[in-house]
Amino acid sequence: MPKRKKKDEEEEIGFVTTLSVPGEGSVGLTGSWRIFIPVLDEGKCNKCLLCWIYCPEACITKDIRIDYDYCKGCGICAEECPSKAIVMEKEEKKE
Amino acid sequence: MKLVDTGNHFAAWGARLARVEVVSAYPITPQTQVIEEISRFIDEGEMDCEYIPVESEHSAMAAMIGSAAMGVRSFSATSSHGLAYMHELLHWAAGIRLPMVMVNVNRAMGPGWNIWCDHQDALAARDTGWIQLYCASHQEVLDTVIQAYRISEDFKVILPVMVCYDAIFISHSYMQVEVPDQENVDRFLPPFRSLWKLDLDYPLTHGSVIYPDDYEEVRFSMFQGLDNARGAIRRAAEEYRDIIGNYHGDMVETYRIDDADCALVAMGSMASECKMAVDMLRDKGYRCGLVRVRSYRPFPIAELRELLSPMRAVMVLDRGVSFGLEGALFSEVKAAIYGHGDAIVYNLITGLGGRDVRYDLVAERTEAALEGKMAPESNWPSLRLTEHHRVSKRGLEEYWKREGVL
Amino acid sequence: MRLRDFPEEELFLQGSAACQGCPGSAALRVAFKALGRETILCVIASCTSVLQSPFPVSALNLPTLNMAFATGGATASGLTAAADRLVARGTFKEKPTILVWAGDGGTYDIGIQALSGAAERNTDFIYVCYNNEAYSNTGTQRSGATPYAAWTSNTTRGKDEWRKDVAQIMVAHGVPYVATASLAYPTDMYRKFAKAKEIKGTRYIEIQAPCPPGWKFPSAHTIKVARMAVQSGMWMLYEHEGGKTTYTAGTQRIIQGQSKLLPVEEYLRAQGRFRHLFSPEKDEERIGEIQGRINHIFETLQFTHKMKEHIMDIELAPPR
Ligand SMILES: Cc1ncc(C[n+]2csc(CCOP(=O)(O)OP(=O)(O)O)c2C)c(N)n1
Ligand code: SF4
Ligand code: SF4
Ligand SMILES: [Mg+2]
Repeated sequence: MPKRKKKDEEEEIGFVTTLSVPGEGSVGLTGSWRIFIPVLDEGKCNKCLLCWIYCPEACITKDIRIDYDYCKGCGICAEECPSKAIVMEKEEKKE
Repeated sequence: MKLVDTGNHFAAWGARLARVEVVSAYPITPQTQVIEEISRFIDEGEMDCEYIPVESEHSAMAAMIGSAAMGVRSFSATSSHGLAYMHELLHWAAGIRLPMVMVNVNRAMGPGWNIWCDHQDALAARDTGWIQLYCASHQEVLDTVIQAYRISEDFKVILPVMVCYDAIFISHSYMQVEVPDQENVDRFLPPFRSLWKLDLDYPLTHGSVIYPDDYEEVRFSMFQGLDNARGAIRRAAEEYRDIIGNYHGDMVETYRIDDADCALVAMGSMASECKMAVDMLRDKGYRCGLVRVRSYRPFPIAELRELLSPMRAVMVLDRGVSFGLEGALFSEVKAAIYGHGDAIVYNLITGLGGRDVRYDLVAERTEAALEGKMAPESNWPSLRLTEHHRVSKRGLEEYWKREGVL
Repeated sequence: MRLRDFPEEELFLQGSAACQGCPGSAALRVAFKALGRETILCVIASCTSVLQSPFPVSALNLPTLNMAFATGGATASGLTAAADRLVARGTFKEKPTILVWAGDGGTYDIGIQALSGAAERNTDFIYVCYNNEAYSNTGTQRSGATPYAAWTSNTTRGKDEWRKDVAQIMVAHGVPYVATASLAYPTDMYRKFAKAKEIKGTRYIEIQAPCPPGWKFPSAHTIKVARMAVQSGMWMLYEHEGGKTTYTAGTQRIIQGQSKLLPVEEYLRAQGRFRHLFSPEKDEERIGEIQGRINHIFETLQFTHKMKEHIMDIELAPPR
């Protein structure tokens, strides 16, 4: 039988409180929430930046690149794009 | 410097000497003079401090949490209903691990507006994670407010401290006190320190959602903080004695306990009354002593075990009640000494709503206990039905008759 | 300020716990861009307590104190008093912006006393109410900000009462700056935050925040619904300072006659929380009541506007 760790060998709890550190992906890769995926047609995009500012998740960069790691697929960018440069497509999920 | 003044004003002096920088408080009798005196200090340029005249006690504690979280020494004062009103935030202040000191002038709870002394208000705040220290004299109030910052800001503690003292008996009576020199207080109490603050250069988020997998350790850490406070309280009391000269005991204060086989246990100003009861019992040949609990949280478990295990009887006085059980201090003393010695523990619940605790009554009851004429359960020795109760009852009985209740 | 001039830096970090299409995170992004890093944030119990993500990682890249439900104004008083001390001591070269972020429940209902107290003390901070018109965090119960006839989980046939208006209550407190904002008008919102940042004293900004799960519309429609609210007159954009109210963006255009009010029916139809006004039968009475109120408000405002243009410069408070 393996010996149980003695109490006083364990790491001391010490000062533990409800402090969180800032970070991206605070609940993981939220791209996994997506059912529909926004697809950008760069030819149609006129760089109006509306999708950049409206994306609630800060997933579109100012030079209009979508971060699929975190994009939740809400569809706001496609809905608001005045040039119809973004369309929502059913996402094929790889296992 | 010697001064004759009220307990409340000496609490204000404590905050002033501790170089408190933010005060937020809301008036309530019998605490009001504390904040009046502080605003006078500020107005007259004797204290360099922001005073926030909040619109409630809930807000007083919220503002304290805000200012302490910014890394600034903060102070508040309240009593009874005010303490109850801020209850939610007592948990928050301790849970978020902020050092701060608040005075609570122990006053009875309504209904029946009663501005006189008992300990019910602070007892109801017992399990919030605050350290609770009880004072028995004006000098102790001043000294304890200063010591409380040392304890609260100790890196092994980092928890808020409530300094409790009795309404009217201490808050409003005048006594002479030795006010220590600022220079000495500064030697005793370094500038504010804490283990975290809201820092623009190092942004952290405090107090968000936390799941069962992570929560328990946070509470255990608080539990340890209170545990560590035992050492911090002792050190503060001793160093205060060395630097400033006054000493009021550490976790407990004792009186004629060395050869005693019977002990009284009490908190607050009532303990002074108990000293006279001890003398009286000694005169009658009973070997009695007194243990005054100075730190109610953390509870003086080791001290009580050591002091009370040789006793044959212990009489606990409660100035409050845990309804449906007994006096809270009584329960806790029994629990602390369980399995240590074979003292029989007795309980007097008395002095509620400011009623006098008479030393002769305490002595008489203790004698009765020692003579086996009293049961070791809660006794209410000062109860009596007066003409006032009867007038009130008759009025109610008329009403019952009319309504056909009885 | 044009969109392209907005700072690129994100202080709201991606990968948060917010719902798809959440108006709260969308509002935080714009506010943080306008206020910048020198900001201390206090979050009041609400969806924002949750959407920032659980211990031990946070989507908020500002020093943040989460606080209990009823404490917004009071906590700010403590934060700002301490900040003043730190400025006086030289620890801070400049005073940071103190920002409180609360929901409509934390503002209209349980927190109004602390907010009113702070406003009366002219506490130096910005109070933001992101108003999703219900207690979303606890599953969409009514609040004092829930509009008339709206479904919530405890007004299942539609709320009987009209909403109150805390922005106007703040105007009545005489604080230096009060503004309303909409997610659909980010440049207007950004400008209001940037302006508020430069003002001392209590500043109140209320952002209407259409919440997809609470209001029952698809997550893609958050901005669309916010825009329709302004276009239909259900949400008005203005700022109030120096005793004067100035209507802005979409609301201003309606008052000045450059665009027409959108029939409120279209706004209501876009949200499942008003479905009972359309099925099984159309509730002409309640829809009519809502439209009637809006018409009354806008007719008065349009009249005042014309009077101002043609006759004299007078100021009327908006009728409620
Ligand atoms: C004193 C107290 N009562 C109740 C709650 C439970 N509670 C937490 S958030 C919330 C509703 C918040 O509503 P709102 O302020 O509109 O913010 P939202 O969730 O809509 O973002 C309630 C009722 C609480 N946290 N504290
Ligand atoms: S679908 Fe939603 S989350 Fe994804 S990029 Fe578009 S707006 Fe952002
Ligand atoms: S319920 Fe509404 S406000 Fe709350 S996180 Fe979800 S979308 Fe945002
Ligand atoms: Mg809400």
